[in-house]
Amino acid sequence: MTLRAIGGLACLNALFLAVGSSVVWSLRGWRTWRCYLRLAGLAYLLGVTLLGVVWTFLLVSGVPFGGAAILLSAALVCAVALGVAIRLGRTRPVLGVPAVLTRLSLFAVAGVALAGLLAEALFRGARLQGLYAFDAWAFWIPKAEAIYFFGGLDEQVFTRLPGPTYPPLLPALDAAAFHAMGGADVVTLHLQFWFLTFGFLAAAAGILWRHVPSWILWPMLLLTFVAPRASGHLTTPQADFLLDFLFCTAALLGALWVVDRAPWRLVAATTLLGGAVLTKREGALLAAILLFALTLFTFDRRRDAWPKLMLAAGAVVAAGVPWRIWYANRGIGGEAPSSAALDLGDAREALRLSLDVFFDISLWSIVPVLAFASVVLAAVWGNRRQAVLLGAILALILLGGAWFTVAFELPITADEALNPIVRYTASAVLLGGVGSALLLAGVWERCSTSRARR
Amino acid sequence: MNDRVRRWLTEPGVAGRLGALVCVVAATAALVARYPATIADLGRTAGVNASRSFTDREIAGGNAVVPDQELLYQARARIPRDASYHVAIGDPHESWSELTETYAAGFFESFLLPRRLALGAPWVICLNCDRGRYGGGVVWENEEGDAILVRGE
Repeated sequence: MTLRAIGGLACLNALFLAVGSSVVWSLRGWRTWRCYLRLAGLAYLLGVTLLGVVWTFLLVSGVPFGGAAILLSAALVCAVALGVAIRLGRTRPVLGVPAVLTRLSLFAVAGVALAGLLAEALFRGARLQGLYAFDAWAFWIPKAEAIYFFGGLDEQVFTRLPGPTYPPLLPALDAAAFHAMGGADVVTLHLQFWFLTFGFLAAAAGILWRHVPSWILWPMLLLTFVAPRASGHLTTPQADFLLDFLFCTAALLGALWVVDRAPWRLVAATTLLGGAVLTKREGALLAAILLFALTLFTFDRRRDAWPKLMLAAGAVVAAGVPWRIWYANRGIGGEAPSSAALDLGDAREALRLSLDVFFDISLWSIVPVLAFASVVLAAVWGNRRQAVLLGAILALILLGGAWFTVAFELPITADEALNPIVRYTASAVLLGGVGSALLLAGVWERCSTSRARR
Repeated sequence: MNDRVRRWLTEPGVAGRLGALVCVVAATAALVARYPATIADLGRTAGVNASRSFTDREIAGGNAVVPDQELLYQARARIPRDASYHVAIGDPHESWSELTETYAAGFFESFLLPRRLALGAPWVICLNCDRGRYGGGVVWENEEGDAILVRGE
């Protein structure tokens, strides 16, 4: 039974990769197969996001959700993307020049090997994992089962369970996984989250591959994944890490876009942010932070950048509107803060909590410290624009954590049963970890260039 | 200090390069400390998961909420998939955990889908409840006072 379920999951994730690959082909073309391998992780995450968004729209529209809807929607997205790619004359991948191995390639080989070993250990850990996380069995999985069993957004389940305003992208993905597995197997479902984790790891490594030397990339990337709070929760069937993966990938693409202005990066980041707002309510806050920061740090070329960012913001908002209409029509509210007035004493305490959680070595190892150091180093010696952008995003995320603690009158505590600030802060830590690789590479390159010039 | 190192340290941009190098060395050191522990933790988790019974794995979090695993499986086996049921919670029993009273109904709802949780439903899952309120027959019961009932007409 579980082998069949694992095979089904593998097929579903191959479908995500196929859809995402056709989308990336339409966005930028595939020059070589090596280039395809490099960006396959990003393609996979885009496939997950696009199908998740399309499935959410189908569910909100009342279209019966089953095997036919899953396959037809995937075929439709693929067909549109391939049509656009052919019309725009995008290049097909060719073999290209074989890779030349150098002494530095050893770092890449070691990094890939360690990542592979970690992926194998995560797989074994998730393979027979029971459903222990409270939020998972209390509402995320029942919502997914309701979609699977009833073929749609069952009003009783979706309006009565805890978190009725939480968007349905993750339950839709889980329901698709149940269809692929041939049953609501909540144990094997943990492997779907292994696929998502592996997809993000591949996406982050692929996006940074050409911008960051291997000896900087892999230690930063792997340390982020083995931080105590990360490694123990990556395959928990909740929306937190999926949201972090989508946001963090979008932020990386944004940080590269402010430098190279490649339009495909902004389109891909927008798609991921659209998925983020449909993954968790915090997704809207994170998307707003990223788009605001990008707007701020493109002030010097606002004529070119701002209309594009306005379009991106419009697309992200549009992605979230149908779900809001669905639950508002059913009289569900309560997602707005309970208090508009801001108590300065509480705000100070909440900000201290936010900073304490971010710099907590027992949760995140030294990843946040390295992120902070990288921002400072890059602001002085590296790519200043990227440094200030990533630093501002991190600061805004931490302020956001303090804001929701005060606004929703949550207790000033890191106890996850009372305040979700630890889960929320993971987005800053993940971005800090992978972003610091980019910033340190900038410092190294610029300082080496000044040495060579002399 | 040899000439090569001295030259490296006196060239422009050395502070930045040193800073970046320190960060990467610190990350590598932390990775060396964390990576084996993480792999070992995950291996331990895999071992614990594999040693559990199918039932323990499937019920998982529910083991801390529902006092009797068999009650869950009996409910799944006896209540038809298209039927609805009500969870009636009575006085706490010594076999209950501190979570039972508050969260049992929620766990049944999750575990028994597509069966629907509804007030006044013909099937009643009774956790030490007052059976007289529901009339009808007892379909299954255990020694702790938990039962599956069908309401009387």
